[in-house]
Amino acid sequence: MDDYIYSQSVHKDFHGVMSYLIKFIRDNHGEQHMETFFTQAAIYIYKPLIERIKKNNLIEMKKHLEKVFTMEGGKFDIDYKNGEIIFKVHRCPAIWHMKDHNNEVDKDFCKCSTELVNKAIAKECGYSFSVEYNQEKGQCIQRFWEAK
Amino acid sequence: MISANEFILFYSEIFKYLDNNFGKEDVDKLWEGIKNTYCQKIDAIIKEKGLKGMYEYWSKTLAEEGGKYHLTLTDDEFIIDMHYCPSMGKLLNTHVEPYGDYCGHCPALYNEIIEKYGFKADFYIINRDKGECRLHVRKK
Repeated sequence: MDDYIYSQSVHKDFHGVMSYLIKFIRDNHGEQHMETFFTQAAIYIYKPLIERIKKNNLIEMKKHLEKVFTMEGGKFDIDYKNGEIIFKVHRCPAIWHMKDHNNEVDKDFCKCSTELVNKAIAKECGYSFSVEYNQEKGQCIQRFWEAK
Repeated sequence: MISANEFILFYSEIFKYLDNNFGKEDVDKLWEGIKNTYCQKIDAIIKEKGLKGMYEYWSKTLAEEGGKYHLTLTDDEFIIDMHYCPSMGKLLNTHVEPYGDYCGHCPALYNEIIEKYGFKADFYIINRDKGECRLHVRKK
């Protein structure tokens, strides 16, 4: 993302409102609109990141993930080699902030905020993306690799 | 994960998406839902402490969000003079074009809560494109 976003102070209560946005659009307008919104918004919002990945490859995604998860106090391991990122999240700061504050975590939280968003970014750059997540535990394993 | 700092960009974009596909009424419905679901903290603190509660609430949240502002608290008034809104600031410093009525979410979320406890809330947008506004709360 833009440097401005990386340098700002963090107000983690916004994760709870994100969860509500997901619930609102799905419950009022259906899953198709939920998926369309997060896919389209990701391509527009992450345009600077997408351009950097196209120019410099997945090292830019690695830097992005490290920055945002470090800013929010997440616990993770990230490995980048042979053109592939393997990103293991042991404690997701968004999920655990909501759980710690007794906020409802929408059932599609990880699907929207990780799967749809990162898949859209990867596809725009000519890469593939997969994720296995356990939303209840706030854990996931994300992979980015070159699309064949 | 969409980070807390990136949230604002999605927040503005969903207003656009809903408005374009379902009309402004749907954006208002979303704001109503957020108010009813995520504003219990401010509701409780205003109910308990009145103007002091408003000062306490925004002192904490604005400190976390950043921005440039001045808070005034007297026996009869609470004022936020927002010189650079941290929320709008995120949009103004990226390529993301803010939703036309982005600033409308603030009075939609807070005015009714403030006024139900015996106060009058006036919200003035001074300059949206500079992130300048004023919230003036008085005892009725």
